[in-house]
Parts: sequence; structure tokens; C-alpha cells
Amino acid sequence: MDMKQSEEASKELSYIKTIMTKSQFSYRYGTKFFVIVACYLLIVNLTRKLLITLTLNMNSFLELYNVKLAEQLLMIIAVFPLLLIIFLFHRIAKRNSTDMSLWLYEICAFSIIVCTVMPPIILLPNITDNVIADIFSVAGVSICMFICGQFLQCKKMKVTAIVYFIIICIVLFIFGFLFVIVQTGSQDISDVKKSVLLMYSYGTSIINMCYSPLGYLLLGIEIYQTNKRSRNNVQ
Amino acid sequence: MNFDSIPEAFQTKLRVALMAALYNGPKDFKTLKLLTSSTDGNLSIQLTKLEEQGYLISRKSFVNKKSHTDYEATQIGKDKFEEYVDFLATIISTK
Repeated sequence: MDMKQSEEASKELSYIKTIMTKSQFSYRYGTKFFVIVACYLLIVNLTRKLLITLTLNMNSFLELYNVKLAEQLLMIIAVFPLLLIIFLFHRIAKRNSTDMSLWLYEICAFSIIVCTVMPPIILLPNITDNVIADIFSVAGVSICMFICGQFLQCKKMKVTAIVYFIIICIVLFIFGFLFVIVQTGSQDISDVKKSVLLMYSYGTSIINMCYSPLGYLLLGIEIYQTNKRSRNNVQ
Repeated sequence: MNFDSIPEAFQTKLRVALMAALYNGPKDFKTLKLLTSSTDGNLSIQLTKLEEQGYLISRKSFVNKKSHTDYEATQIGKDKFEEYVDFLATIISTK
């Protein structure tokens, strides 16, 4: 067997590996799924942000708790369309993809529900607990990004997942810490405390509004690009 | 397996790609088209040839009143494909 045959065999084997790797994950539906989830979360978070604007006229923590209860109710309602989206994509993935892609898809769907949607519902309407909810939300995106990055062999995606998580956690910690200082004081909210409170409310809501949808959108785009790259490799 | 006994199924790039794609599990026509970047006509011809040789089976169904065809590699197809991959690996290792 000469060198030429060996080179051709190597090329053929590499081609087979590319196709097999590609066939393990439904890229087509992966992109659609994450883009739809991103749009959905953006709408939900925008509504949540609108609710937080109600805190502008509040005079006590009790009113703030009521707003938080309304936010919980919103998330309870919002979980149903999300479940429907996940169910529809699950059906498509089950019909078209391999066990591996379905497994990957299910992990991402589970992570979105558990980390992004459930914490605001489950946690008591205590404002400091919402820091945990936000961290969970950030973690949800990071977990999805990391798993997909690992599977797509995309180092950039994995690094982004870790860096995003650390940065947002630090920012959330600072906001949470400021709020704890305010909350452990008297029940009356002075102007200074109110501004800190608003800074926390808006800060976290903006981060929450931008981070999760942007993360899922980036993930969808990255899957699309990977699909395009591997398609070019095959050609 | 040697050069003379390579099955006809693995003598074109598209058929090899189809077997590689179906090795992991059943796929529909659209997914196979996306994976192999081939045209409808060519893909259809190669799938029929593979089916005739017993390397895969097709299942037709209706989803939302639209015709939907799923393809699945048979055990014979999988075994032959494994044999072919092993053959390629042997060529590389004996370089």
C-alpha cells in the first residue's frame, strides 16, 4: 500500500468523522430553539422590568413585596408557553435526531426551566433571594453554553460561558450586598437608600433582561456558524 | 476487506456520507440533505440504491398531512460500514 492510498484513506476517514459528528446533533433545530428561547425570555424579562418600574412610587417594603409577588405570578404564567416551546422542539428532536442530540437538547431544556424560570417562582418574595434567582438565571445560560461548547468542540463558547458567569456573579453580588445594607437598616426608606434600591432593581433587571436572551441568542448564532463551517468542510 | 472487495455502496462520497449519517440513528430526508449538502435528486437516487442493496430501510408517514420519510441503517449496513471504517484505519496504520 503506497503513500497515496494512505493519504486518501486518511481523507476519507476524516470526512466520515465530520459527517458522524455533525449527525449527532440537530444543528438546524438547535439554532431555532435557542433563538426562540432568547426572544421569549426577552419578552418575559421586559414585562418583569415593567413590573419593577412600579417600585418607583413605593413607600414601604410591603409594596415592594407585592410587586415581587406579581413578578412570581408572571413567571408562573410564563412557564406554560415555555413548556409548550420545549415540548414542540422535543418532539421534533425525537423524530429527527439521534439519542445523543436528544440527550444534549434535553439537558439544555432542563437547564433553562430549572435555572431560569423556576427560581423566581419558587423563591420567597424576599428581594435578597432574587439575587440567587438571578445567579441561577445566569448559570442556566452558562450551563447551556458550556455543554454546547463542549459538544461542538468550540473553546470560545466554553470560555465565554465561564467569563460571563464570573463577571455577572460579581456584579450581582455587589448589588445584592448593597441591598442587604439597605434592608438591614430601618423599615423606612430614605432617599439615599431608595436610590440604592432602585439601582439594584434596575441593575439586576437590565442584566437579567440582557444577559439570558443575549446568551441564548449567541448560542444559537454560534451553532449556526458551526453548522455552516462544517458544511463548507464537507463541500 | 481489500481494495477489490469494497462494496459498491462505499464507492461514492455521498453514499459513504449517508451511511455515516445514518450510523448514529434514523434521520429524515431534510436532515440528510442538510448533513450531506446534496441536491434532492441525487440524494433520492443514492438513498434508493442503498435501500435496494439492503443497507437501509425507509419509512413513510404523514406529519401534519405532509409526507415524511425517515431512513434507518440496517444491521447489515452498519456492519459493512464498520468493516469499511476498519479497512480505512488499517490502511492508515500500515503506512
